[in-house]
Amino acid sequence: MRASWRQRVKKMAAEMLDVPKDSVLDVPRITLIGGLQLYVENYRGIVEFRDDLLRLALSEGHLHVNGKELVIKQIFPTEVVIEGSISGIKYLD
Amino acid sequence: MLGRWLLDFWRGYVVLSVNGARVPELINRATASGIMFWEIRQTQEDTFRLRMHRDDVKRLRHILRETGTRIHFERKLGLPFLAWRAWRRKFFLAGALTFLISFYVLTSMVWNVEVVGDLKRVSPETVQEVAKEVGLHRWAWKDKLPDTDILQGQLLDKMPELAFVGVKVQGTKVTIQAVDKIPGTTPQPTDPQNIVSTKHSTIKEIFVHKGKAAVVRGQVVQVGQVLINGSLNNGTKNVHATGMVKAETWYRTDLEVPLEAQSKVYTGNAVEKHFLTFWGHPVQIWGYGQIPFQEMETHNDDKALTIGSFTFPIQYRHALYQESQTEKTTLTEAEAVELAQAFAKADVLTQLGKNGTVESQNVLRRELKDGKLEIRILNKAIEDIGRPQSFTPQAPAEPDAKTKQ
Repeated sequence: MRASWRQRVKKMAAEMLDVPKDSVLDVPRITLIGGLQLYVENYRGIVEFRDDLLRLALSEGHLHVNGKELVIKQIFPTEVVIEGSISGIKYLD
Repeated sequence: MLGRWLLDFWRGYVVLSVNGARVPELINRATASGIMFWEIRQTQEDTFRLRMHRDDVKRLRHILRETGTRIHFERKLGLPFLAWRAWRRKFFLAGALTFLISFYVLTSMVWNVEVVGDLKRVSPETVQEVAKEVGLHRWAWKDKLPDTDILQGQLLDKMPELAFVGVKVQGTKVTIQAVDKIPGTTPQPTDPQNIVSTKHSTIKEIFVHKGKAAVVRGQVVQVGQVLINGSLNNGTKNVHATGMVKAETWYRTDLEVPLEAQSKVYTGNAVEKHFLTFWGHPVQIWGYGQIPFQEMETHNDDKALTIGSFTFPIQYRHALYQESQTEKTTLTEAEAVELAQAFAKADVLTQLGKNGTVESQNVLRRELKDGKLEIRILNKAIEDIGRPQSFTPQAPAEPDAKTKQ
């Protein structure tokens, strides 16, 4: 998928100004804390949720979270907090 | 985190079980419309448990319908639910509250005003009346009462007969401790009387307080003889004679003093034993073994548990066995005489009044017989022999002469 002109300008600006890209680009920021807690900011929605798998929709592609006894600790329009024993996260286009 | 929980508790939240094939969609739509979920977990295939605020449930209805999801309330937590439950039990709560309030009200009132103290010049009822005037009465509010210092001052001002007033508030009871000022001096008795002798004796000293001495020093008096006369001026004036007459009296004491005496002396060795007594039957619990003493004295110390008038039948007994020795003492004759004199003196002193003294002792006769000293002692004592005796005036006295007294 070819990025639009607007996207490219933003990316360039982010690189030149040396700021974190998530604050400029519309991409998720994923924070994993020791396999116990996972913060996903800028997600788009839940696609599937089971206690061993969580599929999240992102602005581009999907995020798969594998683990055991997964719990959505909190959920907000742009942020989701997951707890459980997380064994893997996979980024899919 | 605690702050979050407190906030949720304040708003009230529910634990929901949601069931349906389109639960992720439900979560997305609810989140998008500002409904907050937390602690979402899968419990069964297509069934999830989650928490949400109580007031968000209404907004969730149409999303539930549109996604074909069914919910079941599992728990309702937080203050609004507690309040609702409390409202359902309002009469119970009202009762509890009434009890608390009445308890508080009743304990903040004075229920009892008590006057203590040995009062002679004012009656306790008067003190209570005055206390009522300053606000100390039944049903008075304790909080409205002034300080006890002020109350004491007010009571004292209103009752000059009192020397001290103490006010003490104990719970619902007020104790007023009152003390009279020194009671008025009792009037001197004026009935005519003489002081007469109680013993055959020799006058040693005579102190007249009122009246006229009828005897002189060195005079031998008989029982009943007038010592201080209350009748003056040949019976025209009659007074209440008072005074003290000290005279020499004699007491004879006969004694037998054995020269050999046995006395028991503790050696200092002791053995302890411990028992439990069941209805008086002792059962030893500690301190077994033979007691190695030939001669001993036993002291039992029972410790009983009593509740009111009931004495527990099982008691603890501490027994102490003290070894003793019998000692023989032999007195010489001089020692025996000395002992006899001491006995005689003690005996005479009990017969004398409180102001009596033993002046001297003379051994009249002594004899050693069968290991015993037989002795007769003459004790010379000084004592007050006066005794008041009232009399009726022989010649009727002039009225003015009497009032002058």
